[in-house]
Formats: sequence, C-alpha cells, structure tokens
Amino acid sequence: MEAFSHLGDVVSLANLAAMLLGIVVGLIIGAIPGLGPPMAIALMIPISFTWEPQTALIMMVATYAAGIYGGSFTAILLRAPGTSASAASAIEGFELTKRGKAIEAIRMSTFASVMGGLISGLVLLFLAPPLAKISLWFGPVEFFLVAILGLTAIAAVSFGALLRGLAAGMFGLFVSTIGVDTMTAFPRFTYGATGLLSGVGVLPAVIGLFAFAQALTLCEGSPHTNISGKSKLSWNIWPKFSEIMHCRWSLVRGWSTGLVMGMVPAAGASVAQWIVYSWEIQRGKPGDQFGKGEIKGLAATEGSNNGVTGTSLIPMFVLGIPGGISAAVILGALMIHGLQPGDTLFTKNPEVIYTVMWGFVLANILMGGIAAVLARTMAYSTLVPRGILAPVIMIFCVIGTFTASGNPWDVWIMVTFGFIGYFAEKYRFIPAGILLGIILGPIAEQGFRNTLVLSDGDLISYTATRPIAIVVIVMIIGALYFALKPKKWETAAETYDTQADEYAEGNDD
Amino acid sequence: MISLKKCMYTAVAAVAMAGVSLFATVGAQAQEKFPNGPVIIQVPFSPGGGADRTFRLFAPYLAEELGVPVKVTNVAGGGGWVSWGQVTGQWDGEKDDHKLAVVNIPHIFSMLNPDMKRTESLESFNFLAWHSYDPGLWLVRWDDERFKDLEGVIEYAKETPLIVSVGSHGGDDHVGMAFSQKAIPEMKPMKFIFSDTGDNGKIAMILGKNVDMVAANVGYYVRSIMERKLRPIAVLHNEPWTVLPGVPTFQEVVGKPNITYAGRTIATANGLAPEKREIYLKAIEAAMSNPEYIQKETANRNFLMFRTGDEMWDLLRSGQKVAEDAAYWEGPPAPPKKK
Repeated sequence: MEAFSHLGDVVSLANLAAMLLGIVVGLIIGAIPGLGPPMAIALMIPISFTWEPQTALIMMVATYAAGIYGGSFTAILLRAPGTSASAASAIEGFELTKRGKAIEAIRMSTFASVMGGLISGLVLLFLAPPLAKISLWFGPVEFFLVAILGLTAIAAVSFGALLRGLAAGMFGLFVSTIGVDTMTAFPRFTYGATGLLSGVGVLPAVIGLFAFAQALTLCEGSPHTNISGKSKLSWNIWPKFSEIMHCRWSLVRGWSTGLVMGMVPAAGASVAQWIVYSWEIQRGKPGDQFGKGEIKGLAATEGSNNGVTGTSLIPMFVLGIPGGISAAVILGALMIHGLQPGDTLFTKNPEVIYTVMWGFVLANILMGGIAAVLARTMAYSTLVPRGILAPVIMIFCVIGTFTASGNPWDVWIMVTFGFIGYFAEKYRFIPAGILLGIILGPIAEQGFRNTLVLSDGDLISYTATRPIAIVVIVMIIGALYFALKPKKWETAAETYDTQADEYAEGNDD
Repeated sequence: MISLKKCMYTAVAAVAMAGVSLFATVGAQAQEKFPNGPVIIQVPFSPGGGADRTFRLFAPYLAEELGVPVKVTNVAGGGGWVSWGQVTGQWDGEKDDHKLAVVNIPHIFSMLNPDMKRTESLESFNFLAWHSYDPGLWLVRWDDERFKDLEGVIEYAKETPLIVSVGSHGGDDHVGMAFSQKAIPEMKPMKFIFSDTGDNGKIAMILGKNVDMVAANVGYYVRSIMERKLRPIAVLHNEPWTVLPGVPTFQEVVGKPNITYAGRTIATANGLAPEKREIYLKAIEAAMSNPEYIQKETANRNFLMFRTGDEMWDLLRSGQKVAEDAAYWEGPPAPPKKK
C-alpha cells in the first residue's frame, strides 16, 4: 500500500525536529486564551517557506493537533479555555479541579485527546479519498439543521434550569445577529460603532464568558487560598486501566462524534464537543455527577475535539475545501509550497502527502509524552493563590484577545462578556447557552436564509429531497425527546453512587 | 607643573566629550536615515487569510530593501473598516511614518453603500502603490451539460433565475453580477448564495450542486480548472487574461464592458513627507521585482501588479465607477415591461 512506503520518510531528523517544535508551540499557544492554532500556523508560513514542503507541513499539522489539546489545560485547570474547541471541557473539567482532582482530569483529557487524534489521523491516512465527498453532501439546509442539533445541547447543559438555559441561548442568538448582515450588507444593532460592524466574535465571547468571568469569581474568595484546596499534586499522569474502562463508552462516543463532525465544513470541534456533551448527559446513569465534575463528560468532550483534527483535513487535502480555519491556513501553506490540493496531490506528490499524514499520526503520539511533562507543570497553577491567579488570568485575557485581532473593540467586548458570564453563572443563566447561541447563530441563520433562496420558499419539499437533512432532523427529534425526559442520574443525584465516588476519589498521591 | 590629577580630569573630560560628540553624530545619522526602526504592515483581516498570507510573504523582501525589519500586524473587523478608520482618521504623517496599510479593492467601496454611513472617500487615503490584481471569473461545473458557454448561461437565466455563489455582499463577485444584471435586464433576477467562508465555501456550494454558477477571481480557481472540476466561462477583464487565454471576456460575448477584480493596494498615513514616500515606493517596487518573491506569489496564485501615480488612481477611480454603476445596495432592477 502506497501509504506504508512513506512511513520511513517521516522519521528524518528535520521532520522530527519540526514536529517537536510544532507540538511545543501548539501546546503553549493553545493554552493561552486567544492565541489559537490558526494564528500560530499563519506565523509559521513565512518562517518555513524555504524548508522542504513535508517538513513545513508536519510542523503545521502538529501545531494544529497540539493546539486543540493545549486549549484544554487552562479550560480544566482554570475554567479559562484557550480555544473555543475546549469550552465544553471547562464545565466538567474545572468542577473536577475544584474537587482537587485536576490531575485525574488532565490525565483523562490527555488519553482522550491523544487517542482521538491518533484514530482521526489513521482515518485521514487510510480513508481520505473515499470520505472526502461526504463534505459535499452538506449544503445550506444541512448546515442549518446541524446548527439546530447543536442548539439542542442547551437543554442538556441547563441542568434542570431549562427556561433560564433557553433565555441564555436566545440572548446568544440575539448577540450573533449584531454586525453587518452578510446577505444585505445592512449594519444590524451597530449604532454607528465601527468596532461592532463585524459583530461579536466567538473568541472574545468565549474568553469573556469563561476566562474573564472566572477571574472575577476568583476575586470573591480569600486571596490566600487556591482553586483546588490542595497543597501538593499527584505525580501519576497516566490514566489507570480502571479509569479508561469506566469511561470507555464515553470515549467511543466522543471519538466517533469528532470523526464525523470533522468532515462537516464550518462545524468542526466547536460544535462536536457540545453535541457529544449533551449526548453524554442524556445517557447518564444514576450517580453520575454531570455539572459537578463528571469525568465521563470530560472524556467525551476531549475525545471529540481531537477526533475532529484528522478528519477535518480530509476535504482540504482531497478537494481543496478546508473544514475549519486551521485547515484553511494549512491549505494556504500547501499552495505556497507549490502543491495543489486535490486528487493530483495523491498521484503527483505522494511522498509529501503521505509523509505529512504519518507526521500527523506520530505527532499525536509524541504529544502525549510532551503533554505529560507540561501538564503537570501547568497543574501547579491550581496551587497558586487566588490573589495572584485572578489578575494573571485577566492580563492573559486582555493580551490574548488583542493579539488575536489587533482590534481594541474586541477587548471591550471580551470584558463586557466577562461581566455577563460572571452574573450569568451566579444566577444560573448558563454561560454555555449564551456561547452556543453565539457560535451557532450565524451558521443557523445563513443556512436557513440560503435554504429559503434555494427552495423558493418551499422548505418542506426541498428538505424532503435531501437524505442527510432527514437524518439530522431525526437526530434533532431524538435529542429533544431525551432532553425533556427526566434523566436517571438526576433523579438519583441525591444518593451518591459509591462506585463513582470510589472512582472520583482516585489515588491522589 | 601639571598634576596627575589634572591630567586625569582632562583625559576623562576629553573622552566624555568625544563620547557625546560621537553619540550626537550617530544620533543625527540615525535621524537622517529613514526608516530608522521596524516598519509595520497593517493587514485589515485576521491572520491566515489571503491578504495576510500575501503580505507575510512580502515582508522579508521589503525588509531587505528598506534595511529594517518589517512586521505584519492584523487589525481585523468591520469588513476592514476598523483598520481603515485608523489609517484615515488617526494615523499621523510624522508619528506614524513607520506604518503601511493594506487597502483592499473593491472592499473599500462599501463606503458608497448609504447603510454603512461612512464619510470617507478615495481621497481620504494616502495610496502609495497598487500591489496585486486578480480579475473576476465566472465558472460552472466541468460536467454541467446545461451550459456550454456564457451565452448558454445568459439564455438559461432569461428563463430561470440563475443561482450564483458569491463572496461577501458588495464584494467584487457581487458587484460583477449586479453589473451584468443591469447590462442584460432580460435576465430574471438572480439569486445569490453568499459565502462567509470565502472561496472554499463557494467551491463546496458549486461542487455540491447547490448553485448553477460561481463568481470568483482567477487566482484561486486555476487548480480547480486544471483538475477539471470547474469550467471557466467568462473573465471580467478588458482583454483575455494571460493565464486563461482561451476564456472570453464578458465584453466579447455581451458587447458591454464588465470589469471587476480583487485588488490590494498599499497606503500610508496622510501627511507623510514626500521624501519618505519616495523611499517606500522605491523599496516596494524593488521588492516586487525580486524573482524569488515573484516565484512565491506565482505559487500562491496571486498576480502581482505594481502601479503608482496616475495609473494607480485611474484603476482606483474606474473601480469606484463600476461599484457606483452596479449600485448593488439598490437590489436588482425591475424587469423590462413587455410591450
């Protein structure tokens, strides 16, 4: 098989060095709110354009994989997600940290992410050409319905406060309409402010709602106490077999959702994590602690966001249509190196494409090792007194937001959403619901309006001709049914399940 | 007798004076030299986009010519107006003489849309040079048997509203289509599917058979043509474009000109001293002639075109004229009444 003949090419000194550099940069950049993989990869283009194309691209795909995973560190440890792809992990992850189980959360996140990336990389390597066409089955109506499916997650993440969750979601949807309307160029709710013309970006919103709001919450407690209430950390960074078995089905659901969502253009990791998180909550068993630090929820979200990484590169390599922003930047780099994405890439430059794919697979494995060292170092942040941690988080929020766009308006938007997130959390108006509205609002709105154009207003007849759309509708109905049905774990929440308790206690030292 | 102490004082004073004068000379030289520190290129969109990619490629070559580092910064938002608002309203010719700004054409013509309530005009910008030019191109699926050529598309559009995938509202794709709608009023009002993910979204729409045609620019689509996925039917230029010599222009088929393009220009702060402007211009021209840079941009499918002075202003004004004539914000014209 052609792919295997290039396995040896990946282990050249230059390729391995580039891979290591990409992983380290990705882990660090991903962990800092605002500085995500797309920016890091864009900065790598001019540095690497005299390199061999495979070496440059290996560094970029390694940065992408590590950046998505790196975003989870701060999400779990500080409730300050580094990227929007790890926002869902902040919910269960940080609750585990608060209960003094930061290391358990990090080791599950590492296992789920590394394996998710690895599986996704193997799918990319062996199944790319046949799977690529799936992305073309998604038109405006499918985008609209996928966004609606994502919005049903609001019911799950509301944890019983359904009305307040819906209000939060509606607020998020409203916020998503601010800015110049893409279909009419009319400035909506901007009141003459130039900074609002492009609307409220997902990045300032997610940093504000989670990270800045968290810094404000930290200001409430005694400045001398820390987040975890612990004074030392466990050294055990590798998950135990029993932990993996406890979360096995959650991991499988996370990985599979990530693999599928990676191939849906424009959806990617930001949507996959919420869909699988809501699925997990609905499937919860008596004794599960969703919303209060449930490791199964974290395993699923972390598995999904790295499960996306490999498959989101499939339409980019095979059709030249990137599934997300990072893939789009990698596509640009590919072209600058004189390579044409598409069928010919596999026939004319197999030595490049297969080496890069193997590089992606290997990068996921190496990432686990490097992450183990880095994760423990970062976990010390949970031992830092709140009086130091809160201002440091605030400073990173401002720097990260400004660096991402260079637009001072975004900093004010981030701070505003910081206060919104702080009060929303206090009064259980579900910040995650607001974020879901902001992320999915534009996809749903544009999908719906484009569907109206294509269907001439006859939505039902048009949708009936689209098989994928019908499948997604069935999934939405199922999600709503399970969302409204009382959950076993909620009814049994009072009686704390001993098995989960034993598991959660774990071995800390 | 001169004491040792006095000698030492004199020596120290001499060294100090020599140091001061040397420092003053170096300082004066540094002041005379321009630029005497890093130059910033401000890109009005986020990192990773087409403009960002191009100017990150360009920066090292410009740095070589200017003799100082050149950094690219991104000030995104407002469809470019967060950056352009700073360039026209805040940048000062003296304080901001180490800054260059990327201004995208026809994106700035969104200032003509009354809804945008912009007060700027072309004259609000201190344009230095035109950097790149990519003419409009219309494409259909390679295997779409309904359309043999542009005439076939026009005939179809007279019977059935054409569904076209375009970039942003008011962008060059949209302006070109709006202009053609006015040029051929017999065509039924077209339907537009706007892509907020740029060319990638447009390609997905046409390959997924959701639309009839895609309105775009030549550069990004050469590979889709080479792979026989998309077939070009018209180029929106005044003569056939060198890269696609066999593709007719809109004017050749319809008899009326329809010239739209995506262009990138470089501007600087208003009030910049003429000698500094000249230094930038020479450096930009030299960097754009560097064969290595040209090779990189050719691979990037970006067509370089250095223009300055009247030639540049003619291009800018003709672009504005097309946007004004298309007046896309007014919507499609009323269909002609049947006699």
